[in-house]
Amino acid sequence: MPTTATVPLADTCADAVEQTEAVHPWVTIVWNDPVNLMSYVTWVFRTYFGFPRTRAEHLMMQVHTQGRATVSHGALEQMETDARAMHGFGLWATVEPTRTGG
Amino acid sequence: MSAGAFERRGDGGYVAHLDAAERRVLVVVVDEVVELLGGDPGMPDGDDPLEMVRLGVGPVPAPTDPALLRLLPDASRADAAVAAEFRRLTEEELRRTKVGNLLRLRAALVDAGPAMVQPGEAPSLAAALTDLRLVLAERLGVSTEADADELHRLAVQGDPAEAETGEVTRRYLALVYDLLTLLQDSLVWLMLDDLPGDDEPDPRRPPR
Repeated sequence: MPTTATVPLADTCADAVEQTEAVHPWVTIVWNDPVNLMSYVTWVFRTYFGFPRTRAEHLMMQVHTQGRATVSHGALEQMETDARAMHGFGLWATVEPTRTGG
Repeated sequence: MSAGAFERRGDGGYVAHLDAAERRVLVVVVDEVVELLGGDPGMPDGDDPLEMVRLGVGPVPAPTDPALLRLLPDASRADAAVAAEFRRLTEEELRRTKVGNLLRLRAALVDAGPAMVQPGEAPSLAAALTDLRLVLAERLGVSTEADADELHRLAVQGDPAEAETGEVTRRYLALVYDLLTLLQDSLVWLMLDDLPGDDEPDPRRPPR
């Protein structure tokens, strides 16, 4: 992110965090499970979120290897729509506020 | 069990060659999961399978059956209020969607001959196959990747001591699980093949 010489770095970062929380206060997280297939998770990410193949595969691998991946961010209502859609596909998704979302 | 994966047909549809015994077994599993979700397997596809389940004003408690909870999971791990409100607003409709998917899969299985799938209905069938596998995995105690690998080994190799240990039922269910996995994976690869290329990113909310 851009910084200027006239603004202390710490302030800029704090501002940026606040701004992120204001614009994207919630995230949707997809959790790993031993059942869902890598092919299917990739297909869900490509078709529902419209991610290009490489991004969909990257997020799928993140779920697979790290146990979870953040797949969208925005207002709570939109995140609940996304989580509901993931549950429809059989993926387990939760919504979290950005502050604790990591 | 001679498992048949989904293949492409000449007319653009997909087909899986399952024998009558395989189709019968899968219909039994479908019916069990439909009932688990509160639906009625006897309802023809398209009818309202959950007429008695209606969105109430009161809270909807989370399922106590872990398999059902996996199909209708909490939408928050940390915030019980968020999870409860999400469940109140979405659970009934989610059950309806899942039962509808399962009844579409059922219809493809009960027809004599190979299971035919049009590309337009493939996503709901893939979701139904996921839900069947989620329930079976939960019932079989599969909670890690190692458990899933072990289940696959049991299906392929069998258990030398199965006659003594009573593992015959488990082996049978492992074979059913393996068949469902093969069906879903082969179907999804066809669905992936039919997506537009990377130079044409899909719109975020494609019409369904």
